[in-house]
Amino acid sequence: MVAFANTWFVANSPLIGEVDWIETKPSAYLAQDQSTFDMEAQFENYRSGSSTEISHAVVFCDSLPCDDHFQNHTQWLAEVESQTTQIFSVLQVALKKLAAVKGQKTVTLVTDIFGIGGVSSSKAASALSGGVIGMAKSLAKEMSRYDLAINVVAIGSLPQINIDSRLNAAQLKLVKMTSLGSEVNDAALPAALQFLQTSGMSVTGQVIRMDGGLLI
Amino acid sequence: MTKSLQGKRVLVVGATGYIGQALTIGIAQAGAEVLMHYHSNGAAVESLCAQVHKVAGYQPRAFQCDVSDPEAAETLVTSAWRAAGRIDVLIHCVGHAVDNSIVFLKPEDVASTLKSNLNTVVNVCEPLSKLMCEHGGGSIVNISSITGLVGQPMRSLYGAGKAAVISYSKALARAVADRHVRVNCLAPQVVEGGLADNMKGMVKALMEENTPIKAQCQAEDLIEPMLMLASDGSPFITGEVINITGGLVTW
Repeated sequence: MVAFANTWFVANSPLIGEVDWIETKPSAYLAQDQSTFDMEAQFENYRSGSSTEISHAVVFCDSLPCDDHFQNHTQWLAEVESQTTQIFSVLQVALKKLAAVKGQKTVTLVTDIFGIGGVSSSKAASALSGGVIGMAKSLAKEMSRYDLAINVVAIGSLPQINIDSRLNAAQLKLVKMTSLGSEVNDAALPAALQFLQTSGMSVTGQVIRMDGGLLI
Repeated sequence: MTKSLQGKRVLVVGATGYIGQALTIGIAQAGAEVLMHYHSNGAAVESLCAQVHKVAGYQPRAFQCDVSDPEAAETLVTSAWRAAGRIDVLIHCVGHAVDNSIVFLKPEDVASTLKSNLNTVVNVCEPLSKLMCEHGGGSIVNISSITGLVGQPMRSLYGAGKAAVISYSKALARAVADRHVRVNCLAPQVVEGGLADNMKGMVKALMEENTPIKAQCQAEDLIEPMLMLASDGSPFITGEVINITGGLVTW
């Protein structure tokens, strides 16, 4: 179990709560309850309960289901828009609040690798995570003047947050053939998050692919 | 210019935009029959028709609609397909940037940016790639932006939209590759006369100074890479993104 100090955890899926190797649980689940959409109040509430200044944020971005080829693209586009808006709203609050804090700050987005290489079974998930990565890169450039580093961890296979269900059988088989195994190692994600929190401005605008070598 | 698209029927979505106009002329010069889509600029489409007639000797068909509307986009695809008999190539040049810091952007800006950059692409690509799959194949070239690959300050939502276009294109490429439909992207830096005109002079000068080829990107710089991806000369290239940045982005 890894605990994160001074860190605001947010997720847009309650499934993230099932990730059992991070002690710090998300303080808000966006998709579960729209009333939590007042992220500024969420942040202030979380900060008031913390004994130290918040200087890091970790945002877990859930993926989207497989889509049927050539069907219902209007439906999944609406889901991409909804999720992107939620992630944007979290980032806006996090960046505003953290920019005002002295010293080095970090924001880390956790998404899937589908946006990097595209996955045929879910164009929706591909567009969503690709958009998240694109947004993070622009924001990294925009916010560097505030000593605020923004990075992405893009994970491959992780059943706990339902990523495996986005892969068709052939793709899942390919993942299991990768050099480091089929799933994210229990220690790998917290280690990556800790590394990014301690790297300061030396590492910003980067995407750490945690996919067992799938996209080498 | 070689006649690399001789006999092809090419739908250009966003033909009256700055990039769209240059690509439309390039496609006509390459021997293809151009079918032009435009949103609202009737004067520009008339002028473009005249230019195509001048370089290729025929009067192209033009279709007006808002491709952010999925039904209108599907009607565009079926109308253009019926009019030409089939469509071999799609060139998609629609996009729009909202320039502002994330501090000042509003949630509704997310919707408008995704609608104008991602939805416009998906709304056309989905019905057209289905038809292409059913009729032996085709090629799709979506014009994204280098901002989608490496980001740009004050353009976080535009970056998200254009990155989503690239990721969607890669996913679609994988989904339809076995039915001989190829999907690729171009990622130009800001094009002089297009979005570059919205940039401050100081930013433009800095960009030119940092570009190894000391020049601004011109819309015409996209023509040959587009023709290569669109033509039968690149049968094994799909899911690819070509940077057109004069060496500014080499990674």
